[in-house]
Amino acid sequence: MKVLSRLYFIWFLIGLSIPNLMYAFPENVRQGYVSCQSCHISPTGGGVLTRYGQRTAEEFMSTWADEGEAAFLNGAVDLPEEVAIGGDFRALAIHKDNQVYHVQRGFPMQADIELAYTPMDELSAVASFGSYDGTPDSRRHYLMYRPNDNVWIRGGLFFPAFGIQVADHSASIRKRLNFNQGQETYNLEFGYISEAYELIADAILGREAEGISREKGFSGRAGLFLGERSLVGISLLQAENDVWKRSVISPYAIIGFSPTLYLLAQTAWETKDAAISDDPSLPKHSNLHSYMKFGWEWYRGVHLFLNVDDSHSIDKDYLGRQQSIGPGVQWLPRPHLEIEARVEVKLDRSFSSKYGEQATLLLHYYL
Amino acid sequence: MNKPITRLRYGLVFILASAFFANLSWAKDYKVSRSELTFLATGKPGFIRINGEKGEVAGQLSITEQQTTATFKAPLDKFETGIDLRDKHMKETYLETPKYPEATLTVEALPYKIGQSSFEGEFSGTLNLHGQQKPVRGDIAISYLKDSDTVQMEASFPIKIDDFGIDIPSYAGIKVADTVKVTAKIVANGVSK
Repeated sequence: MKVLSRLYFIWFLIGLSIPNLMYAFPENVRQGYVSCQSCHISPTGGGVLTRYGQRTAEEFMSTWADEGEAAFLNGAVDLPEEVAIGGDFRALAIHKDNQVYHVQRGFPMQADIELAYTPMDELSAVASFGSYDGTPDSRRHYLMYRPNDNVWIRGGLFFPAFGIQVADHSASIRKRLNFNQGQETYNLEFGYISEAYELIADAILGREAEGISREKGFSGRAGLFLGERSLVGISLLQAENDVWKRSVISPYAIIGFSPTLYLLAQTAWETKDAAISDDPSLPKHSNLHSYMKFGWEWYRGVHLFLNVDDSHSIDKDYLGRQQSIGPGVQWLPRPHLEIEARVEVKLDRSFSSKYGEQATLLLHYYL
Repeated sequence: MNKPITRLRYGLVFILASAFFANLSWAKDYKVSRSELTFLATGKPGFIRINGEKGEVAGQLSITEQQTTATFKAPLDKFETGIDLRDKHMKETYLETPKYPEATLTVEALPYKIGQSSFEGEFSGTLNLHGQQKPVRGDIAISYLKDSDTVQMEASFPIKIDDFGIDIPSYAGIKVADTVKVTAKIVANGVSK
């Protein structure tokens, strides 16, 4: 345990210099958690957990847990009820072998802390803090007003509601759709959720950062809860920055076949055109990005899964095809801790015409 | 010569009619042989689906030519929601199963008649839960399999848990909605008297 504690501590220190991402477990739909807001302060998921969200690690997500272990700092510090502190610290070891790269390395991938202050049931203020290449930054901050259990309005910096928003930021439905880390925008969001469906609309107000003008436009997500452990939905996005204007339509589904067997699937049809017309270097084209994860909780906290990802241009070969397929295992041994190992066969036609191999080992500590 | 024949005819008609009416006045009991009892509760915020599964029902239906009455009992300790800690809280803190181990539903005057091949409609009854007795109403569908003398039934009804003196469950900021939907699937076989 001493060695583990030291490792955690070192990892924590390394991680603090790296920016945070959103992190969520949409797979929990199979347990009846059809909406993110039971477990996360953010109604679209990721980020700081509610008190109930923390306890889920103890209740059903981790293989082992002692009572109170899932609380903030294992219950060592009793936070006031209106304060929640979250954070994710991830490190990755990667082996990559293809025509261009023969790489084996390990690196801290993300870390930051997110604070939520909820002085009354209706009002929350959330802010994350971290650093990016040594520069302090806040990737998420917003104010949210929730007059009742059905409605919320929030404004601030976060990802607009779109599709599943899987934890894997390298998935094409995130990375190639401008939902990669650091691409959050300022948004004004209105959401409605009932027992049967959810409707979320975002006005995307853009963000001027690091010399890049982020997109402005709007997005919407409509989801229908099917039975007790599934949902299907569709997302739309219409946005524009200095270079591109694009529209995306994206059906998605999270199907819980049973409390242990589940499927996450999303396809996005993206049409892009030059923001300034008649620019021959930016031809109008369409891309198709598809993601699927088929998982099985073999034992409590131990998930075996298969990931399939495919992304390519449809009408012009403007976007190099990316494909990956491979199995993995995710283990949540104790609250706050996740280990994931994955092996993939990958293709990236941007720089290679042949398939390569990739193996990753991810260590994740969440507050 | 005609009179004895006429009397014989009347006699035969009388015997057949008696047999026919005697047949109609049959009543029969059906005992539950298989069952599946579930409930669906919703937790807010987030509309969590809390599925109570693995519940069982024991009991009997009494079906006559006019109506059906039934009494069902369900041991509450059998329910599982997929999360051990939640089950513990549900049984110990809210349902108080050591004190109130079972729920009883009495169905009154359901207009389903003996031999009727199918029935769909509403039922009313009395539910005894957590030491409280309250009327309940719900939907019911019945089908009768003549060959095996089996009655198959699916019923669902909402209950307001605070009507039964059960505290509204809440845990770490999640509150369960007051109304819980109960669904029962039952197979009952004819009992020879």
